[in-house]
Amino acid sequence: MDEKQPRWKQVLRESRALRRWNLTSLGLSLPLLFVGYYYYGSSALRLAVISALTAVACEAVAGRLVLRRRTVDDWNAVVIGLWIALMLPAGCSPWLGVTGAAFAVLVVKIPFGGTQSAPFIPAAAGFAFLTVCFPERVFAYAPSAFVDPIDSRPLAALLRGGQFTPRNWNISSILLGQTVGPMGTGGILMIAVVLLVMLLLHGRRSAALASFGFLAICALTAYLFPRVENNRIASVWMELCSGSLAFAAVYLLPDPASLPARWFTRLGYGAMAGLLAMLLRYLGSYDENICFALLLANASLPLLERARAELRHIRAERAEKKGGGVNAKA
Amino acid sequence: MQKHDGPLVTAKERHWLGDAIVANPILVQAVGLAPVVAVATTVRAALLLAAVTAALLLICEPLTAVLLRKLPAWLRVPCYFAIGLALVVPLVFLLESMDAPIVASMDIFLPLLALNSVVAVRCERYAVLRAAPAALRDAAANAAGYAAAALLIGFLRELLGHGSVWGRHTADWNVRGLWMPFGGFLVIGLLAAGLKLLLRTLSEHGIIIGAHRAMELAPEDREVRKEKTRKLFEDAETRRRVLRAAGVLLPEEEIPPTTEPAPAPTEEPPPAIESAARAAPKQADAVTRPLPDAVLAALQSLEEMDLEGGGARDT
Amino acid sequence: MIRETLLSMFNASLYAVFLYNFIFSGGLGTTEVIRAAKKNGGMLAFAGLISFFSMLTSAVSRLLTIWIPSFETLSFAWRCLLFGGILLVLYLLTGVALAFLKIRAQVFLLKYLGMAVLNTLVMAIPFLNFQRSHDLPRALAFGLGAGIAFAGASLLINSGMHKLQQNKSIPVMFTGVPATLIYTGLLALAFTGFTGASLFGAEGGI
Repeated sequence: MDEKQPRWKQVLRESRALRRWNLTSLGLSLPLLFVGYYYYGSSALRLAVISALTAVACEAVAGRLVLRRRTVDDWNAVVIGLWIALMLPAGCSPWLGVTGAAFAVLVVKIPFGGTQSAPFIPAAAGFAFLTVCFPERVFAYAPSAFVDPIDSRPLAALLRGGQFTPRNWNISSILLGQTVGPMGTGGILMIAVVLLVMLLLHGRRSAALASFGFLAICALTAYLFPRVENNRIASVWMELCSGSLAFAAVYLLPDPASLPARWFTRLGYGAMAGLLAMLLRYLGSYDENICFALLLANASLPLLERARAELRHIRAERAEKKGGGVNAKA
Repeated sequence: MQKHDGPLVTAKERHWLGDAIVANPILVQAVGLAPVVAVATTVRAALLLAAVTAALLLICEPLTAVLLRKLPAWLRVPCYFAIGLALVVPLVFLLESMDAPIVASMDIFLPLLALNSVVAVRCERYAVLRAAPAALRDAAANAAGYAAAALLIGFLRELLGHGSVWGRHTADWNVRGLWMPFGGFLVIGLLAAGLKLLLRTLSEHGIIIGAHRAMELAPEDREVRKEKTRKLFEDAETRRRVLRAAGVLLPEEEIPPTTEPAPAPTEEPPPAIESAARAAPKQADAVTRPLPDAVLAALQSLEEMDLEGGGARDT
Repeated sequence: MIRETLLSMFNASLYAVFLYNFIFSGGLGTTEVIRAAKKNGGMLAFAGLISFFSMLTSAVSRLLTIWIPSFETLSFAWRCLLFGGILLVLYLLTGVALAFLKIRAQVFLLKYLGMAVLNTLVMAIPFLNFQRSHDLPRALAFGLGAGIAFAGASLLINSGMHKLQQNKSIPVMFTGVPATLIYTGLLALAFTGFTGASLFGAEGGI
């Protein structure tokens, strides 16, 4: 903490940084919303707007009543609502977005003090809640004229059932998001572009380390334990391109409240989240498990940080004893 | 007599029903959570849970105060379990013979009701150091508090989760997550926050329920309060008055002479609560000479527990 | 044969820890987990006690049903009495042995024996073994998994509690028990990704 500056200036600087971060996230998410609108029409836009407005309304009311301060100015609520909508099917009922956004803000964010203090990623928790409560609606994907008619099931479900056959699929359809799936998380090419843009942005570069660690471990696990028969490379591609994995890696994972401070720890955190994601993909009960993996990673991070601090303490003690032993001998 | 700051509501002046709210076993003390989280998904299940827990508390606490306090702690705990089994197993026989659907819905949690942790916690923390009337009062308070909280939780989870109340269809929604343990945790957590807000608001407006303090004290305020309590016990007369009101110090003729030798310095010191019960000197001695440090520490913690409703300290 | 047995034991333990986590998906031993997590030390020792007694109860229950085949056909109520009785007897034997043994850990063990043995988690294990028709090796592995699940849960909740204590932004109405329970609930939500359901009870209610 900078002790030379008065506290109100530090708070103002932090709130400006937070607002900038959230506005950048919003800007980076809008291309995905555009893709969803292009493929699915106004229903996608309606879902996104209703979800975002619900999140803002919940935060405005709860922030005033519970936190006793105005918190909507940081635009985080808009981002949460938008991300939940992007992970839902385009044609789903708007109240699904309302429920998810309300849960994310009122249960995951406000009780722990707001944006910078939530121990879990609110959008991931909101979507996980919807998955558990309404699985049949969350995985009822909307048809679209742009969707490749090869199969009516999403890639993630095909991989789970071991029914994916690479030669039937057009890789460009997969990269452009023209497959059955959530409204805004299928545009892999768009997400890859966003990841590259993040590398260029000053504040996002180190946050992207977590994304790279995540994707690297997912790729490695898919290569070592392929779910596509006799084709490890196709397994890697399909695991990375299916469901909301890429979206979660680039957008959800680098949440500033839950990211570790050091770059090395960020890489490790991303790798741990990737491992949990693949474990849940192989052993979990839903087609889309990535949000549960992020919650587990959030919960495991304090444990790992404490373990790391204990190890450092033990090493420091040993070094002190050795130094004391050497001095004693001298 | 030394004058002390702040109100000091003694055990006699507190209403037992107030303790059911302020020291609620589920929402404040966070004990007995397992059956509530797992199976209190309907009002019927919550009612059965509340009834069994109430029966166990009302039997075990006075029994502990009268009889079981003479046993060592490790022997008392299986007694609670044995009493629980004696109550629950005939109930299971009865429900099985009636072919009640609750047997299937509660599954293995029906026999697990015999092991409700609220019974062990209340008996070990409170009843073992009190006379029977105080223990019975505490049992009634905790039974009422547990029942109220469990029924409310069961009602909310059934209404929002199943869209029904007491098995009767009420609404068309169906939020599956509220049937599950995570839903139980969240409902209890939010209700606990609501209760805390309510008590704080009432306290700020001067309405005191049960204990003299309904607000959460900041850590530095706790230290100030501990210091005040310590100074309180320097005055023997005040000490005697507080202990008698708390029901710990028995009337003069009931105090047995202290025959146990002082523990050797190398031995592990006995738990503070047990040393308070065993090492308390005669009434006359309590007035004329200061109590040993271990007893003082035990009385301090007792005082804090008593005034906080005897509940688990918040983190 | 040994390899298959070890593999089935590993599966049973994995099942107890991840796929149907007893604490987060079943709500078993919740109070004990939160109370153990509140203390900074002794969590692993406590989890070890739970593991030991879960395995012991599993072994004794399973062996009894092997030696006395009529136990397999007992009604649910009689099973409650049998498993409860086994747990009580094991506890008393252990308590008496500890009371007379002069070991360093005597005070610790006697202090926490009640909480470690007589809790919903340890008592549920023989019922679950019976429901799933586990043989002796799987029953032992299930018991071991219970201890590992307990250790993991208390470590996760303990680290979460530390994080919550350092968080000065938590509103007053949520400090302490409410925040801890909501945190535990969100942890339990994370584990629901493995199971998709609760461990017990009819989902449809009564």
